[in-house]
Amino acid sequence: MTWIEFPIITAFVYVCWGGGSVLNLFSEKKQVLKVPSYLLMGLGCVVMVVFLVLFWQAIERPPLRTLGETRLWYAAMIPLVGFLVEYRWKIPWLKFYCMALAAFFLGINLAYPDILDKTLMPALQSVWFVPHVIVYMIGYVFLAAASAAAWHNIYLDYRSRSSERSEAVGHYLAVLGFVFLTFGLLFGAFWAKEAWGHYWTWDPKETWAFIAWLSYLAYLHLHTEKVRKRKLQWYLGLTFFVLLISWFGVNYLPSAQNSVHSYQVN
Amino acid sequence: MQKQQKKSFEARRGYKEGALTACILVAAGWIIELASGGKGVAVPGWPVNGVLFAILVVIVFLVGILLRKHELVAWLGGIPLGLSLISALAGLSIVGGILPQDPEHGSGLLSDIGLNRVFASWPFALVCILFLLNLGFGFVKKLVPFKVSNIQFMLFHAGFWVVVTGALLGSADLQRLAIPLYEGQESKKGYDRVLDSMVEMPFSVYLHDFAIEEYAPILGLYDPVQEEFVQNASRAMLAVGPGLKVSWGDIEVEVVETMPHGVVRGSDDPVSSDPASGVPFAKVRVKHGESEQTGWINPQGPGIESNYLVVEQYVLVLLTGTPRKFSSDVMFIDKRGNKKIATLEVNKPFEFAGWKIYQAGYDEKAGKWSTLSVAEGVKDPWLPVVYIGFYLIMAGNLMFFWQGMKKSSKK
Repeated sequence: MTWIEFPIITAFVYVCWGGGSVLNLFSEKKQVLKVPSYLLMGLGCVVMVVFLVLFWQAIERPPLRTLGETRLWYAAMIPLVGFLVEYRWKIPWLKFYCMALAAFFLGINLAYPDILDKTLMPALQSVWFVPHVIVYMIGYVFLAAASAAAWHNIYLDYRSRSSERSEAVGHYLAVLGFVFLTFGLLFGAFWAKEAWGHYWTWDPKETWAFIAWLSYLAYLHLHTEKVRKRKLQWYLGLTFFVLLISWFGVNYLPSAQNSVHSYQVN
Repeated sequence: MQKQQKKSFEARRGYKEGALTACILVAAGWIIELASGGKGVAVPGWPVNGVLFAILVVIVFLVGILLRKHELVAWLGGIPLGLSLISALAGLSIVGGILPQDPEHGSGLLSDIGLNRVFASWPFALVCILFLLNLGFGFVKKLVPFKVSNIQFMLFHAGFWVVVTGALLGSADLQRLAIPLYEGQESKKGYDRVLDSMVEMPFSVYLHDFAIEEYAPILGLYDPVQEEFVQNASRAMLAVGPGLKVSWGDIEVEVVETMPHGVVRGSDDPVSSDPASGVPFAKVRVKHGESEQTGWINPQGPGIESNYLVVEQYVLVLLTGTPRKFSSDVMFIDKRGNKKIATLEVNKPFEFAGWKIYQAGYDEKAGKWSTLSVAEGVKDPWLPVVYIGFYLIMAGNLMFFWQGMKKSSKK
């Protein structure tokens, strides 16, 4: 499986997630639809994971080098967080946001197709490569879910139906995300020492990763300060955009011209 | 209840003062930059930075414990100031994350106030110094009286404090030298980018051999009019191997034979050579409609002209593969004449005489024929301090994960 099959796979996954979501919404009234809805949504996720495994095989190296490749991981993992939250906290709506986000990132890959490139430059040939990027991806996934929860909480608040449980879930997701973000940052520092001679060089990607980390650090402190809930949800929802800058927005900034973190194909 | 909560937060003391303090620090930093002619911060080296480290520790513990009830100290170690300083750090970092950071270029006000080297400028340093007091006092507040439930907080905050302090003060003792090495030559000169001068190292390095291993060469169909490569339906880089069949529309290409390293003599077919002197060759058969042609194609090399096939308005070319690995066989010789043989490779630095030596680069224009290898020598005596901080943060982080999981399962 390579980028040739990607559009077909994406279309199939879209149908699974979209169809499953519709069935799931109707299942509140018609219980019969419940099981098929989960089977359909689950099938979408299974197809995504299987594609990732086969893609890994085809590309003969960890598919974590280009932004397009990291988006595949993201799309495979984030719906799983949605299902986890429903299973654990009985909150059903988060999965819809998660699938929508996953679909959006698959859409970016459709709009800006990657080229299959099996090569891995010497700087990336390290034991740190997989843990550093995967830990970051997991962090991004949790924080995306946290921001989705925050948007939903803003909506609930707007309708005067705010729920403590759903605010708590947003917070737990943010805490989990922050933990992974911190590990990602530190693993990156250890790796940088081995590859580039210093653990921190204020490379634009590092700088933005640091800004994103500070933003979530501020969130945690705002939370302990018991800032008004609505403000806090807005903050959590918007901070995710800082994370997006550090993930790929940084490539479009003037500072990126000197970045050593550019592994795209020209 | 909610109204009361709102009032208690917004009326809480310290936020306005915190924000104001952060703004004053940044403004003061810019004024110092302007007044000092944009020299930036010069952190004093050993032993002064060591003494500063000790003084900071003493201040944090003495003041933090003895004057903990004092309103000012409580505010200095509190979240309102902390959040203000985090915002200031983030704000300065955003400037440094958008504007290219290059101290040697830039002119006018931007460089006068150090915005082209934000992380070595006075505003950043001043914010960091107060941030260290804030972190330190916050830590001491949780340390005394000791509670097991505060361990996670303490590990995280102490770790962060140690990392920032160690990195800032240690930057004065950090030495990073670019070491140009030529095959068959010994050198003890390194180039210090910070001082912009060559310095003598306490050891010398002899480069025996520099070698590059390349990935398979790439087949490409080039459009000279559009000045770009034509996309192929496989959506993949076409790594050349025997039997490869590819097509661009109705242009069909088959690789008949490959030669990883070869040279050409006269107008004959290429002959196999050793990796150091040859370039990759591929014999391809191209079908386009009725016409068919077969020929050798190859990229350029020293004394070897490139060969390509013309197909309609396109050119079928073979491109050298990207480097898979580059390494230098070297010998280190210290002042007493002790010798050590090593291979330097990216991601595999070598330690010698208290220095870490890295494979950094080579003459990229010459590619695998480069006789120049650039190594980098790094001496960072404060590294253990920073790493202790990293480990403390990681320990706190693990506990945070654990606590988060436990708390969340209660709900």
